[in-house]
Amino acid sequence: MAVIPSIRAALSRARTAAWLGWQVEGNWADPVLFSIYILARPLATALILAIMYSTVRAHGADPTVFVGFYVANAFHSYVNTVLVGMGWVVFEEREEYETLKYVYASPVGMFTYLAGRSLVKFTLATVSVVVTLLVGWFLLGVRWDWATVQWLPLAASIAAGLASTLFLGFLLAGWSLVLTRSAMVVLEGVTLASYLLCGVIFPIDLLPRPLQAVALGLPFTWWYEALRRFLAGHGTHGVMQRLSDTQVLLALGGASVVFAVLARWGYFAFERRARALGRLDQTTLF
Amino acid sequence: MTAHSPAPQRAGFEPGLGSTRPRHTGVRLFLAATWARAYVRIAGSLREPTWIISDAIFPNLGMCAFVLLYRALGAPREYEALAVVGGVLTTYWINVLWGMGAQLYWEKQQGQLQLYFAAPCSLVAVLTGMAVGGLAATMVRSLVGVALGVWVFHVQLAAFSPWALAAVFVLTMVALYALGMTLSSLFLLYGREAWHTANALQEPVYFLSGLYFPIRSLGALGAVAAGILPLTLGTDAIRQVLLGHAARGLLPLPLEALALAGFAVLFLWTARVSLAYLETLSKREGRLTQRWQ
Amino acid sequence: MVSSSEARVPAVETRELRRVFKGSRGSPDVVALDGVDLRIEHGEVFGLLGPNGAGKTTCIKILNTLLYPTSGEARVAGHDVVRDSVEVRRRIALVSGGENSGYGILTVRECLWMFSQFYGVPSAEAGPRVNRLLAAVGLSDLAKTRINRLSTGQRQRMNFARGFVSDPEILFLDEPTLGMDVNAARELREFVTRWVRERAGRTVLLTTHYMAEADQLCDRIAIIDRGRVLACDTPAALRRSVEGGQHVELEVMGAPEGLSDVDGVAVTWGAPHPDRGTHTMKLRLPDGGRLPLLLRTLEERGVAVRGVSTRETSLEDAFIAIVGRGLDDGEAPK
Repeated sequence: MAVIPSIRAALSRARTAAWLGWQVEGNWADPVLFSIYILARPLATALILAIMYSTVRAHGADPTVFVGFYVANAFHSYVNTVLVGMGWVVFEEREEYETLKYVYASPVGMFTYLAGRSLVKFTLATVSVVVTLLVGWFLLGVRWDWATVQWLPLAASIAAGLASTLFLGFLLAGWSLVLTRSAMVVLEGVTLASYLLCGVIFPIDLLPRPLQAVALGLPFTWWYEALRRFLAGHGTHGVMQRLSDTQVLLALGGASVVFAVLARWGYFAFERRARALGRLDQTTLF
Repeated sequence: MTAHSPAPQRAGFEPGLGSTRPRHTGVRLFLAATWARAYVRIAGSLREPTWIISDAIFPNLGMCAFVLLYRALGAPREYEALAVVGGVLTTYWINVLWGMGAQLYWEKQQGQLQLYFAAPCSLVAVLTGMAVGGLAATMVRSLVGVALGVWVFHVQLAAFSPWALAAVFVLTMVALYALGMTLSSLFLLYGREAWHTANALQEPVYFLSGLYFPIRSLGALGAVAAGILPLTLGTDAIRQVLLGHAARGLLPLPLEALALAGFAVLFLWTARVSLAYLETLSKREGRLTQRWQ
Repeated sequence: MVSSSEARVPAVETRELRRVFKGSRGSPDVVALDGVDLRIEHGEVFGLLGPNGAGKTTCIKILNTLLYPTSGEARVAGHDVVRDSVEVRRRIALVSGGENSGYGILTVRECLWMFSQFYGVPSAEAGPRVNRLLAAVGLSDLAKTRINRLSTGQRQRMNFARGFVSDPEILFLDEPTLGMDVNAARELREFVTRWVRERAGRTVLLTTHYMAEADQLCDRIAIIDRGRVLACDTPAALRRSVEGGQHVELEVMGAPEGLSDVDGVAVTWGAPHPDRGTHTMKLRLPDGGRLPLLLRTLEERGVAVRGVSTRETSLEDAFIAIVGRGLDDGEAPK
């Protein structure tokens, strides 16, 4: 069968891309600085949430609600790291190293290459998520009942969430191919917009109605709700409260599949556009 | 020698290229250079829509999320006002960090830094121009945060003195942008690593500055932060003017104003010293004005 | 204008100028300049010619107050570049070829105006001067175009114009036509020539990789290699300084391999011509009268000559003779 050698070749290329990703990401003179770089941002955001909660706790803030927000915020590191990271790969390779054109013109395939490069981003994000949760558990009192954790749905939801994150990364990388020097700004903006839109730290009912509709179409909104329910034991109030766990899982699965298809289509549409515009070997940082 | 056809007729030189009056020196040169560099910022802020979006909209998205968290937690409305004020000030901090701190590093990467070093105007004048232009552009953008606070989140302000607000705001900005000038030297000295560090420290600074909660909530850590970061004191002082007791201020307002003035003087001095050191180091080692080094 | 007192001191003067870069991570120190003595008078176009790594850019950087010398002395318009850097900067401008200047968001006119302000040019003068410069470098039509929309060649011309916006007494041109197309480079060379001619007392220090450029523009040329000035004179005198004679290239057939001299004249061999099966023989004859004799000798030795071309000694020949290798060649074999 010709399929197996081609899968082997793709895996080999992805492995090479992952190795390259590690060489680039790990190119730090100082390991302490490297650790700060991975952990400082997510931990600081977690601390901001914790202080905000502790400040208003006396006014009747529900601790279980806060635990759910904290958990979702920790997992949002994946979206932050992978989404910005994959777009950054495109930008950096095109503008700084000027190697994108060679990667593109080689048989590795951009999709495989980006998937390989994203592996390091996922690894770094995992470290960040675990440390944030540990800090929450041991230092900030963010705790949940392990007995009520629903492991299977949790694993399924994490798998769906990570796959959606990867496809969002593809989409943003594709967009970065078309964007000029504004790519960095757009990437940062999409991260912040996703933080607001997906209701990471509040129920989406608090958003204006049109934005709620958008939020319900995104897999990340469902992912965070699933994490809150299956790990922390409590979902959010409002529109989500009316849905059963199964419905949430189905919504997450459905939204993830639709999103993956759309993201893949979007990536290749952007790639075609970039070729048409001659952006693949263009430096625009000047 | 290569023979070739005559060049197309071009304009003559005299009197257009020759000097008929002396060039500015001293204060006039400083002001001319400051205005020229500020002009780049102001023109840029009007011409580049992505910068407007990034500076005006994005910082406010984070602010909105934190305001909604207070709402989700059932906190009194005054906390939302605290977060809105902090969110508006985030716009300035981002401008100081990336528009001031990282700028010399960018200038170097673009091969332009050596032109500044070789020009007769001082580097302080160029950085002052960046600060003035950046501040002017950011003031306009920060109005988006103010508008969100007033019309979307219906923030209620106490009766406040515009003079007190202006005084505290100016002191905060002078201290912040002077810190930005000092950071620009550090960024240049430590290059890529400084860049990544600043990127990594963006949220920690938000945390230590108490941008989304009263700085008093940090206890002793808040006091330490206020002793290091002008943003912490400035945020607290501006909240005290705008929100009165609801601000849950750290120190009495006059004391904070005095400390901010101290910060301004200190950071202007460190900026001057660090830039002079930078120039000496650059000439001695011959690295800092070269790209990719 | 250059004052009479300033006219008495040279525009640029260096004495025993030396610059050593510390080696990093155990690598040895690099001596970029090793006792350079230069004296450039006002009104001169002076060229620094040398292979890569000869020390040209280091010298320019020191003279532009961008770098301290390790030892020795450098004066620009009579001012010490270390102690009086501000006074030096008031009198100079630097154009480095192949580099960007200005911000992409600004228009071409705004960019030049901005740099004029960094040099303290009064506003009433800056505007008209910028317009004149734009006309002179052929960018008038693009005055209102943003820099990030310019082509590479247009950016280079704008960068070139920037050097003149402050009407400097002494202009440093570091590889100014690097990467430019032939026409643009030729126009800019003419621009420099006219500027020096019409702006009395203005001085240009040029480093270049192009022999023809140095030959055409420079009143005097210093040939520099491994941080030392090996020769300094007018282009004509430099050509004369090497052994004169006639450079001959012969396309030959049937030459014995390893033939290294003919009648005592050293021979170097070019690549074989694949189609015609011939080889190129290169010789320098002390005088043109020996050529017929040489051809006869070759005929007697059974070498068939298919073509002959001759030329006089060029600046490149002088350079190779003085430095021991060409401008773009690597280290000469020891």
